This record gives sequence, C-alpha cells and structure tokens, in this order.
Amino acid sequence: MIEFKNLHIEFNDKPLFTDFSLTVEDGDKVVFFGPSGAGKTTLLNCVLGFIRPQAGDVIVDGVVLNETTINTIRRKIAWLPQEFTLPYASVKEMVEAIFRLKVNRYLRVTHERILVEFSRLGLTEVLFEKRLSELSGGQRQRVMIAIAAMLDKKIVLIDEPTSALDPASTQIVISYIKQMEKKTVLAISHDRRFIESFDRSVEIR
Amino acid sequence: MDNNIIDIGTLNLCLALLLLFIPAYSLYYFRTGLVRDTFVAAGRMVAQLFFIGFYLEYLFEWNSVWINILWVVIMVGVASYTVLKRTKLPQKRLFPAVCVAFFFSIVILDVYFLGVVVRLEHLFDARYFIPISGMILGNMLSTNVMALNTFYSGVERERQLYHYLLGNGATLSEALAPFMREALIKSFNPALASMSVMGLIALPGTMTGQILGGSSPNVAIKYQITIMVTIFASTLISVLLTLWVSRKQSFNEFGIKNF
Repeated sequence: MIEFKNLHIEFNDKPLFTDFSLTVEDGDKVVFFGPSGAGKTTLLNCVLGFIRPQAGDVIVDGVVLNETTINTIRRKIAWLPQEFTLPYASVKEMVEAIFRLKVNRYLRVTHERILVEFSRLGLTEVLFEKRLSELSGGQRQRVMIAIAAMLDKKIVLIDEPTSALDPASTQIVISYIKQMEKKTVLAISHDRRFIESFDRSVEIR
Repeated sequence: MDNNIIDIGTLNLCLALLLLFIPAYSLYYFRTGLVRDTFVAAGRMVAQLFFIGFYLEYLFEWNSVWINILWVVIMVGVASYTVLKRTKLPQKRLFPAVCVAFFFSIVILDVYFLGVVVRLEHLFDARYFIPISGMILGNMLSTNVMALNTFYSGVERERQLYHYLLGNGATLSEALAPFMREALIKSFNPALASMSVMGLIALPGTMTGQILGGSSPNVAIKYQITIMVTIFASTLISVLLTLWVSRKQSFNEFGIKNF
C-alpha cells in the first residue's frame, strides 16, 4: 500500500501540492493524468525519495519514507522513467546490468523468460542482441517495461510508458500492465486510451 | 663515487634557465597569453626548490620522527588543496576527505615500501621517508584530478542512469560503480602507457637521478622498478580512497548529490 499523506511540496516558493493525500491499495492500478508541469512526475519522485516534501509523509507498506527506510522502500520498487537513453551499448547489456544488482540477483532470469516477455510485448527475439541505438523509441520503451515486469517487485512506477508507441503497441502494453495482477502500479500518462483502461485515474492539476 | 658528481654552478644554472625563453617566445608568438604564467611558474619552481633544498638540509640533520611526520602531513595538505583547486568541486566540503585518503595511501605504501621492500631500520628516516613520500604524492596529483573530474562529471552527465539504478533498488555503491569504472579507466590509462614504455622511450627520473648521483645502473634499475610499482599501487589506492571517502561527503542518505 502506498499512502501520500498531507503532502506539501513547493519549488521556488511556488506551491505544487498543498495538503495532498491519496491511498493506493495493494494491487491497485492507478494512473495520474493532467497538464505538463502539474507535478505528476514529482509524485513518483517522492515515492523514490528523489524529491522530499516540505511537509507530509509518503508511507509504503506502513513504513514512513525517510533517511533510514529509503533503501528498503526502493528495493520494493521497479521504476520505468519517462523516455530516456541509457549509455548501454546493447539491449543484452542493459538487461543484464539491472539483474546484476544485489537486490535482483536471486531472480536468475533465464534467456527463455526474457524472450517470452519480449514476445508478449510484440518484440522479436533478434532485438535482444541489437545495439540500443538501433531500437526505435517505442521498442526501447517496451524493453524497459519487460524489464520492470521481470524484476518481480511489488510496486511498479511507470512514467509515460506509451508516449512513443503506435495505437496497436499501446493496446499491447495496456493489457500487459493490467496482467501484472499482484503488483501495485502507479503510472503517468497523457494517453486517453491508457487512462481510460485503468481502474482508477487521478487528475493532477 | 659520490665525489664524481659534477655540481652545477650558479652561472650554469642560469644557462639552463635561458632555455625557458624558447617556449616563452613561442607562447608569445602565438598570442597564447601564457608567457607571464610561464615565468611565474618557473620562478615559483626555482624558489620552492631552493627553499625545500635548504629546509631538507635541516630535516636530514634533525632527523626527528615527529618533525618528519609533520612535514609529510603538510605535504598531504598541500597536495589535497592542489588537487581540489584543479577540479571544479567544492573545496571546503571535500578537502578533509581528500586529505584522509591521501594520508592513508601514503602510510600504507610508505610502510610497505620502506619497511618491507627496502627494510629500513628506521622507517621514518628523513632521507628516505620524505623524498619517497613526496614522490608518491607528486604522482598521485594528476591521477586524482583526472579521477575526481571524470567521476563527478560522469554522475552529472549520466544522471538518468544513476537515478535509474538507485530507483530500481541499487545500493549507492552499485549506482556509482559505472562512474568509478570510467574514472579508473581514464585516470590510469596514462600511467599504464608510461609504465609500458619505461626504459624504451622514457628514462625515468629516479633512475636518471641515481645514475647521475653515482649509483650503478643495476642498483638504479632495481630502485626504479620498485618505485614504479609503488607509485602505481599508491595512485590506485589513493584514487579508490579519494572517491570512496569523498562520496560520503557528496551524496546524502537518499543518494542525491549535495552540490
């Protein structure tokens, strides 16, 4: 469960959130939508501890996020940031890097499992061996979604996962995320189809 | 053999300094604006070396353990200040970290080199302890400047990667590992290149100095090999320690850079 409790966040003396509260139950799929700059990404960054609210708390599974709990909380999270480029040479290298982290080593994800997830997202097998620069923005987003799903974390934070996708691929990603049954998903989107397909949407303005 | 050393007279020293006019004229011709800096740097070097020569005479004569250690601590302080001045990093925040890293690197290597390899009876003998510490420190400077610059500019440039790793449960060490790797590669490539051509296209300072000082080339070579390995190890240890200690001052509990 994720709780935003009476958050007050301001940048350069301009308040972004005043007394913002929201509870997301285990397994819920919630999407934030609203105009750019309204603070959607800021909310995800609060859960990740990258932004600290001036007042209020973020509580994850009953644990208040602070200096001593941040690492425990981050270990429960799979995070897919807004479209960005990582300096890895190949898809293989990118996938392997994240599974080499101590927190993920126990997973022992096999090559077959990776290919299954790729195929569920409409990605071909050959993609795994390709250079990252050879991938389109949409392919890169789907690779990242596959990684987030395979990480087997309780909470998944996704920022604009369909911004570079065509309608057909968007539909594939929507059903893929909805099938993450036990995971709590907090997503951000401007895509009407994506917003409408979620159980719960919260407008941030 | 010491009697065979040819002293350089004041006039001859001036003749050597005349060589500076060749680079100075070139720098003037190409309007680099570095002529004044060249003469200031050369002037500082001459003054500092005369001063240290004068001071070392006394240090060697006193040969007091505590004065020798104090002298090395001062050298560590100056070296740390010099390194940070050549980076764009906050000097006040990182100065203690770099000092601690340099000091421990020097201690580890001095004890090993002078105590285990050379088997000195008195580890802090001024004639060995001060020049060896100075040489090790001098070689640490450029490597540490390069390592610190590469590391912190890497974190800044690849902030997305750093946050991506942290946000997906990486420890601070794991999230910083790609930047540590880059810093080590960039800062050690010149040292590796220079070690691999030693004796072929570069006659190292220690060896040349010892031969000029009357030692046999065989002894000079053995000193050079051990000193090269010591310098290489000490620079690596100092870079690792500097990055490790400085990061404690540079990132908060959330992994966010403080400056």
